[in-house]
Amino acid sequence: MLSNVTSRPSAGQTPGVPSGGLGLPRPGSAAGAAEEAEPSSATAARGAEGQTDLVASAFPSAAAGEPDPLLIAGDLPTERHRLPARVTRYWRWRAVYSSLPVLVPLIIGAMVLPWGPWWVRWGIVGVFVAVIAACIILLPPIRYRVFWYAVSSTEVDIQNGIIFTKRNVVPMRRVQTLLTERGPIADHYRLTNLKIRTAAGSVRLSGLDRAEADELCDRISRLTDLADDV
Amino acid sequence: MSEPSLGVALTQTRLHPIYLIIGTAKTLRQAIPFLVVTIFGGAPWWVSVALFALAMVIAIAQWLVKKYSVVGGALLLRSGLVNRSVQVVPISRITAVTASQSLTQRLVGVWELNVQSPGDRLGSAVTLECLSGRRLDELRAALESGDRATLLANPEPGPGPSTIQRYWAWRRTSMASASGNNLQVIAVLTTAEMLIATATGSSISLILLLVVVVWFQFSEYLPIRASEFMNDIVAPQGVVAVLVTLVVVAIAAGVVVGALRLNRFTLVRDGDVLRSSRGLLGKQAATIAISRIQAVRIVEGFSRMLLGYCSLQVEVAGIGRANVNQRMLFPLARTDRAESLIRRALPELPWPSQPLRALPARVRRRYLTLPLGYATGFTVLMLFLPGWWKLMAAIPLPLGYVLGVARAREARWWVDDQSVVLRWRRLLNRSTVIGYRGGVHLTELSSSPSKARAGVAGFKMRFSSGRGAGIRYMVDSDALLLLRTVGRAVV
Repeated sequence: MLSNVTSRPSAGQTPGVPSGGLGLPRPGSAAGAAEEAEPSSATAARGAEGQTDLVASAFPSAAAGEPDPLLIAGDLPTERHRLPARVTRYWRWRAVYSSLPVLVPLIIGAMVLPWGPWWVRWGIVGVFVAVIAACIILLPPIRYRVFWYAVSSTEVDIQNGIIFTKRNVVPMRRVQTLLTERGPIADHYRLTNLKIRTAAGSVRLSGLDRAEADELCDRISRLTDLADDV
Repeated sequence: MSEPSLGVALTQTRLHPIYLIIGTAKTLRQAIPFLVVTIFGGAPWWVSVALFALAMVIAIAQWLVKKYSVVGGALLLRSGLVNRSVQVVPISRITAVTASQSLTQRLVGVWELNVQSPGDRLGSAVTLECLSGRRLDELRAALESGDRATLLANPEPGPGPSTIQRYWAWRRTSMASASGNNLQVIAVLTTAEMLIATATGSSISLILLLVVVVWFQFSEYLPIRASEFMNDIVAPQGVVAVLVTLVVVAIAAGVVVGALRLNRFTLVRDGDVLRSSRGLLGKQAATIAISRIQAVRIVEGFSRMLLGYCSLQVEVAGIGRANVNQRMLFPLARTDRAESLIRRALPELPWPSQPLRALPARVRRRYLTLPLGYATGFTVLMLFLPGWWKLMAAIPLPLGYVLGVARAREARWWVDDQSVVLRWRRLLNRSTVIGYRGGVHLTELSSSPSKARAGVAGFKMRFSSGRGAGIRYMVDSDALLLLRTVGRAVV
C-alpha cells in the first residue's frame, strides 16, 4: 500500500477543490433512482441527485452496487501525500538563483547605462527586487499547501498550482518514462524532482524526498509493466 | 494484441538505385559552401569535378550501406557510413504508414515511405526515400503480415499472393473504385468539394498575405512580365484594382495548391486499416491501423460552418500538431452526413448513448468573463487612437459578448462506459471530439478560488497524439466525474 512508499503525513482537504459538492454519490442510491429531472436541470441542481442520474444511466456497470467504483487515488484524503516541509526552502533558493539572470544584468545596466536620472534607474531595479522578493517569500508556502499527490495501482493523481489549481490524473498504464533529476540545491536538501512522462505530455513532482522518490519510481515502474496499447 | 511473428518477413533490401541521384543531390546541397568557394574563388575546374565525384562516391557508399528488412516482428533500417546505426521499430508499435510521391518521384516511378510510431510527434520514425512500387508493396505487406497472429502458425511468413493481390487492388482503388475483396470505399472527394475545401481553408488567406507583402515590399524581385503587367495595366486603375488583382492571384494559387494537395481524396476501409490516397501531380497514400485510432475530431471552421461543412481528423499516437495531412480522415464533409461517414469508416468507434449535455445557465454566465475582460482591455487601448479611429472602440465589447455567449451555448459533453465526447468553441472554430473513454492519456481538472466558490471547474484531456480537448467551465461535479472516469481502463 501507499504507506510503504512514504511516511509523510497526508494532507487534508485542499483549498481550490470543494469537498461536499464534488463527492459522487453511490450509484443506484434511492435519491438517484427517484430523480427524474431533465439533463440540464439535473446538472444545474449541482450535487448528489443530478449526478446520480447521470452515473446510473451512463455507467450501468458502476450502478451494479460495487463500493464507489468511480473513486480515484486522490479522492480519499488519507491517500493524499504532501511534500516534505523543507521543500519551501528549496523552492525559495531555486527561485533566488533563477532570478539572478534577470537581476544581475538589470543592476549592471543601472550602474553602467547613462539613461535618465539615477533614481529612475535604481527605482526600476528596486521594483523588480521587491516583486521578486515578495514572490519568493509568499508563494512557496501557498504552493506547498495546494500541492498533494496520490498513487494507486491504477493512476497517479497530482494537484498543484498557486492561485489556479490543476489536478492531473495519469492512468498508470499510460506512463511511458520516469525521469528523476536533482541539482546542487535539491541535493543539499536531499530532494529530487520526478517527471512522469506519457505520450500525451508530462506531469512534474518537484521536491520529493530522495528516498521517497526512489521508492515511488520503483513502485510506478512495477505497476506500469503492462501491455502497450498506445 | 497479436504476438509478432519471429520469422524473416523481408530480407535485407537496398533502396532503389535512383537513390544515387537523390543522394548525390543531397550531398551536393550540403557541399554548396565549398562549391561556391571553388567555383567563384577561381580554383581549377578539376577541383569542382573532384568534389562532385566525392559526393557521388559518398552517395554510392550510403546506398550500399542503407538496407531495410523486416525481421522478428520489427522493421530494421541499417544506415550510416562512419557512425553505423540500426533503427528498430517493432511492428506492433507502428501507428501509421504513409507512402508519398512528389512530381519528380512520380516521373521516375519511386515512392517515399514514412513509418510513424508513438512518441515522435514531429517527424516520422523511419523514412525510406526511394522504393519502387513493387518493393513498396512487398514492404507494406511484410509490415502488415508481421503483426498478424495468423502467421504464428507459419514460421516463414513472406508476402503471400493474397496480400499482394490485396495491395494491387488497393493501388487500383486509389485511382478508381474498389472492387471485391475486403475493400470498402467510404468516400471520394469530388472536384466541387475540393474547391469548397480550398476556398474555406486557410491557404488562400495565407497566399493573399504573401502576395500583398511581395507586391508592396519586394516588387523589384518579380518576373519582368508580371511586374510590367501590374505597373502598366493594373496600377494606373488605382489601389482597389491592385488589391482585386492580388486577391484573384491568391484565389488562383490557392485553388492550384488545394488541387495538388487534395485532388481525388479517397478514403477506403480495408479490413483493420483505413487507407487514404490523394494528390494531383504528387501522390500520397496513408495507412492507419484502426486499433490505433483513439478519437475522431470534427472541426467546423467559421466559413465551413456557414456552408454546412466540416472536416474530419483522427487522433493517433505520433501524429501530432505538425502532421496536418496525416491526421486527416476526410478533408470536407457535409456536417449532417459526417456521422454516417464516420460510422461507415469506423464502425468500432463508440458513439454517445444519449444526446450531449449542455451547460446550466449559472455556468454559462462564466463564459462571458474572459472575452469581456479582453474586450475591455482592447476598448481602453482603442480609446487612445487618433481622430475617428476612436470609434473602433465600440467593436470589441459586442464581439466579446457574442463570443462568450456562443462558447457557452455550444459547449457540450458526454461520458459513458465506452465513449467520451467534448464539444467546444475556441474563436472561430468549433470542435467535437468523440473518443474511446479508455483511450485518453492524461486528464486535468482546473480550479481557482472563484471557480470553487461558484461550483465550477474546467476539464481537459490529452491523447497520445499530443493534442487535447477541453471545456473551460462546467459544473464541478460533472468535471470531477469526467476526471474520475475518462482514461481509466474499460472493463
